[in-house]
Amino acid sequence: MVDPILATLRNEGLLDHDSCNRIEEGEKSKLFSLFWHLKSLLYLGVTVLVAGSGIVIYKNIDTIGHLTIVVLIGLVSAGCYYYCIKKGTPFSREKSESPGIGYDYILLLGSLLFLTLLAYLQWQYHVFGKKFGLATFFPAFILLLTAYRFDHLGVLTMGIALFSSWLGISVTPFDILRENDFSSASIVFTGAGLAIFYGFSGYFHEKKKFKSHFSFTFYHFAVHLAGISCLAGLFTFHLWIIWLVLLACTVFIVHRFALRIKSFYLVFVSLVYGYIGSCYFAFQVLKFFPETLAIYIGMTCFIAGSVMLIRYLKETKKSFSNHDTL
Amino acid sequence: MTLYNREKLFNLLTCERVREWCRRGWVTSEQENAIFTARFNRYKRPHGLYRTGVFILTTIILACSLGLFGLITGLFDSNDGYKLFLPFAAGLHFFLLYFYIEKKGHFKTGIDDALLYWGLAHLITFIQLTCNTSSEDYFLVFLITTLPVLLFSSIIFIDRTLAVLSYFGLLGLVFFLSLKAGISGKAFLPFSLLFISLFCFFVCTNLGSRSRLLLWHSCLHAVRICCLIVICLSGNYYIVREAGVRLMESAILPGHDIPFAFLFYFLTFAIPLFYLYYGLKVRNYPFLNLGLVFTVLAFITMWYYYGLFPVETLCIAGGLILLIICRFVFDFLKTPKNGITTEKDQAHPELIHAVAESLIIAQTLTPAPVEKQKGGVEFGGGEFGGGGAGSGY
Repeated sequence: MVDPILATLRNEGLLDHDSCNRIEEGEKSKLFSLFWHLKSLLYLGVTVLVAGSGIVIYKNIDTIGHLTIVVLIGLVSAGCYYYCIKKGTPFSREKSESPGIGYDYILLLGSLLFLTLLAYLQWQYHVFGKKFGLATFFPAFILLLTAYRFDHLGVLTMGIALFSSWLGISVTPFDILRENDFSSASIVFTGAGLAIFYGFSGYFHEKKKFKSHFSFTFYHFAVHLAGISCLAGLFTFHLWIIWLVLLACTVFIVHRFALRIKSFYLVFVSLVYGYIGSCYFAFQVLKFFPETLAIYIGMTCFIAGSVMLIRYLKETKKSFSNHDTL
Repeated sequence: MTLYNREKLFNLLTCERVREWCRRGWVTSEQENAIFTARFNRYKRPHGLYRTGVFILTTIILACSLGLFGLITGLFDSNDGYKLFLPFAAGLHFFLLYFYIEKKGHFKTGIDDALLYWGLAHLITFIQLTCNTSSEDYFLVFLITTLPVLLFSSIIFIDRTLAVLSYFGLLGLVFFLSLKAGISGKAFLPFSLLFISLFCFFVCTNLGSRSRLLLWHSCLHAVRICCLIVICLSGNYYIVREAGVRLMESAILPGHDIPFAFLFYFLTFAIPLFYLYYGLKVRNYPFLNLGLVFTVLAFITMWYYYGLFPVETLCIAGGLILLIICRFVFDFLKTPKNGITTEKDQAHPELIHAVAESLIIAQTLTPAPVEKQKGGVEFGGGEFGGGGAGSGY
């Protein structure tokens, strides 16, 4: 098929003959990238290998011998780290380019096996004694150290998730609402505290230009933890008005920040949390009206609110145009 | 034949292609700017999040508006009133859709999507309520009456979702006709679905090669991918066996197998491996991606029925094989060969992939949170699980 777009541009003189030839040649000889396929296969390979190893160890503990298992896992993990130290670049405050995809996944394998080793040492030899928190904090610390030294976003996210779990909160995408009991005051306050901590961490990374590419990950966790904690406080506690004010402040700060860095994702997320909070507030107010009148007023408010939000989203989108980062 | 402005759409597609050419270095920034200026009369393709948000908000507006209307007029109080409400609602949706597309120049902004889908929902509901059918023919009549509406709408509004729904509607029609044909129809069902999907695939490929239908290429591409998926599933031993057991309402006795079992064993592996081979040969991502996914599923299917070795052996062997294959491919393709490379495609943005990848890694490989100890000062407490290795030792 003759490319109609190229033909039209050529006929109108918007592209000269050389450019058209270059494009045609380029389309024919365009390289077919297997980058993401190999990354997916590597990720799958590492995951099933570690899972399988764990099951083998679990089933054959009595046969293999504890010391053998410890030495084996330790050696493989150490080997992975040694490879990464030898092949990788020295530590840098800036983004370090990975020597190759395999490197990233060897590091991931080494980190996972290290977690497995620590878990095994704790289970078999009680190296942390009854300090179960330390059994979570120590690997989180090592993972974060690994992430910074070798500049790996996946290990960083694991470290953040493990650090959060040390404080009793699950922050992984599918578990944040399922695993946490947000009706508990301690979880809500911990979530809010963590959100502030992660927010400042992201800001620190960006301001001090220290691994500034990590900052978005911290902001991502901060925004969602803050939003969910404020909403949980709003829905659960008696003094919900305080949490409404906190939510409004959070939405305002996140929104201003998102506009500054031109991130439509953060704008969207802040508006979602703000909208949910506004709806809850509206329901609380409507409780004081007779039922039928409340339904009419409520529906009218929803319509008006949605129209205003659509207009605002449209204006924001226009102002971002091509400069949107994420 | 579309309600959208063809020139604006063509200009949008032109600008998107030119942007990609510029990223690849085939056109200069000056040329890109000149083309963008010349093609100023074009639709804008909104951000995915924007479109989703506006879709949800428009749905809320429509639901509340029509809800208010229904409450005020009392149309929801009776079945006849509801039947009167539906065509009115559908008509209103389509009128607004026409207004937003023609007068306001909307293109896939979320507002037109919401108006289209909810308008169709009201229309189809009205058609179904009006048709008096016996319960056993209900699905057949539903599909016969709905399919033309969906197909027509997908063409007029160049909508991928409706195109895919039309395709699955066609498959549904084949399915229910096969059920009506009795035992022989049910037995032949995998082949019916396979041949229909093959037919649709070739029709879409043929139509997709026509430059006159450039505006509908995205719809045809989406349907082609669905066809490839259904072709694989129709030949998969697990799907055929389990679906056959349910449809025939009979279990397979030990030592017995489904009819043509050898054919389905063959197809379970042959189709995905063909996809892999063809994808690499003609450098086509849909074939390659589906080939990879279904090859893995094929091995899992065979292990599920004929698990010759325990799961841990499968995991370790599978993991090692995957890592060895990757290592081999990296070494083999250190320099690109036959137009295939292991380097990242520079034409596509990176940040969202990196963030998504890190979240997937964290989701699947991070241990569960620690339970708090009662009366303890320190944070955490309870079991600690190793990453990826199970929930506890």
